[in-house]
Amino acid sequence: MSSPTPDGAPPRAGWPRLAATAAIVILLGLQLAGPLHYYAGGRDPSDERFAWRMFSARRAWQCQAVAVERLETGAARQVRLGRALHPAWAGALRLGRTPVVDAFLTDRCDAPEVVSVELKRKCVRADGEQVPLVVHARACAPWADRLAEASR
Amino acid sequence: MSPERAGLGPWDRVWFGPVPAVRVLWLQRLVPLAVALDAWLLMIPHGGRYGVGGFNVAHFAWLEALQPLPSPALYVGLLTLVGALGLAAALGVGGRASLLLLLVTYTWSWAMSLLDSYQHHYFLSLVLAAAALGPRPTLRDVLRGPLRRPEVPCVSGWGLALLTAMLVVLYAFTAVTKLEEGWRDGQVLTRLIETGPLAEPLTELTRALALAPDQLATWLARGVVAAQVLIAFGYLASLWRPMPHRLSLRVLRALTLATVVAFHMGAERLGLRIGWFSGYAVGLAIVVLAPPRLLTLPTQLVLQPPARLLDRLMARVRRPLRRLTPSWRWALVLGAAVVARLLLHRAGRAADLPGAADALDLFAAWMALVMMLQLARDRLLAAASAALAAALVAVTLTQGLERSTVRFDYYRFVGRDAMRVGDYEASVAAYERAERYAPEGQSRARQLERARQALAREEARNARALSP
Repeated sequence: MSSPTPDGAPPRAGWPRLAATAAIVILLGLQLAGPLHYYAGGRDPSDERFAWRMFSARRAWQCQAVAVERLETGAARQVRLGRALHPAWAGALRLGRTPVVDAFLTDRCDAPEVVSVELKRKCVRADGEQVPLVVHARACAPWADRLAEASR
Repeated sequence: MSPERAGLGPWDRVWFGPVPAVRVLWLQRLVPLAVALDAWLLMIPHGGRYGVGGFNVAHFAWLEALQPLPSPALYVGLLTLVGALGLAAALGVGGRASLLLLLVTYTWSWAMSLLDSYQHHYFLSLVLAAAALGPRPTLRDVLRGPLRRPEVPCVSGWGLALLTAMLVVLYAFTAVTKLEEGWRDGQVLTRLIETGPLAEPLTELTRALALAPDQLATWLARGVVAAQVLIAFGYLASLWRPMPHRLSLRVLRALTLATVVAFHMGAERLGLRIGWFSGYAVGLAIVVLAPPRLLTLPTQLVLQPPARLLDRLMARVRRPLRRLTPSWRWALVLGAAVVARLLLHRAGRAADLPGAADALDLFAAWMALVMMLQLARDRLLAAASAALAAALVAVTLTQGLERSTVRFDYYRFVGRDAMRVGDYEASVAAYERAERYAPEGQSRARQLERARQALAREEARNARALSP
């Protein structure tokens, strides 16, 4: 193997090499931050992004989701998830991806007649064991407050 | 310069020690090329779902605050730009800046929405960052020596070392994931297998070996963990600089490469929906682990004849070009920039995809800037190569769309999704477009008819509701 070409020489000692080392440390740190944060328990277990958990046991859960809105009249109305959202978002809701669930509940609360929303998720692990029912509920702010919030 | 003479200690040697330039060249040219084709052929067809119903969640809250609501035009346009920048970077046009722009646009394409949660897309952003760092060897640096016994020049390819370390982290954590119950006992693998094409052969194998139904899946699941640990270890060992000429290390590299290929081909056979991840993984393994001469030889075989021809051509035009006055040179470059812009604009309009024309206009502006900067540095031929790259992007996109099912898939997905949410008018419009690009035997005439009937029923309902 011949020696490096002049253009391909290592960065000079001092600032150039320090900057290169910093770039390496930052990028590797970014890559490591995801899994370390996940395994240290800093993140919701359903949120496996950036944790390099390809084909995890969690991802193999099979889930169903039902959303129900309570209206000002006191009546309850089921949200047809397949109609209200693109199927890809409905899939994320079923798996309980926290940011999607939060955004969905906020979105449903935007309707003036809705006073609360509830999303119930029922999942089964890969081995067939039932996971306890999870309920995400949101009491919508009074409509007057929502209008004021929107106008701000 | 040897690592010792360059004043490198053991730590610095790992990152800044010499690596064959051909590996770095492949990383910096082939990854952008693959990303370009991936964006155009695989990602664009799914662009229609962005912003549907006004709903979106970005990967990062700060990005959500900064960006507009994603739309098909924004997403498809961005991916069109990603493809153009990827091709430019693959050709070495625009230097490191093209690679960095590619990194930013590609990262935004997945970060803008949780609709794209493919882990390999995040990983590719890291790969592109690694490719953008460190020395950038040229083709001329690599194509040295005779064809039979080419030289293997080296550079301090610290981007490649970083990529290798990233691969260690990737495979190590993927293995950690599979130590959990569910994978370890074969349940997850059973689920993956039972829906794929390997279900029947594996059931037969289980029967032939007289095993309990779950036993083979358990063994295979544990084998996957072992393979991923071996791959992580093999990549870790390849960070050794300078690489000692030991048989054991060469065997380990070969074994790691073979394991990567077998493992990812196996994943493909399972029919998992992971895009081109297997291709990227095998490609990166070849770049990092294959013997350098094995990489140099095809590079020479494929690229040396056209490079020599181009050199000869350039030698002929160099002298007359040097004689040109500065104003003639500027006029020439401006003319080339205008032609490139026209070609790209035409390709953008012919693409018949939302956002594509705007994206190619932006790319034309970038190429024009590259041409100007090269001319300002008195590199007329480099400026000319930017014009050629722009033309190549226009031709590749047009031909790529003509010969693939990208537009058909895009419009049929839009039609299907619009039908599901009851937007029959949009569904009819999309299916009509899809019909225009339908390959033989894949007509969506039935779906179009159904959407038309649903639209007619809806219009009749509305008319009844409005009638006194």
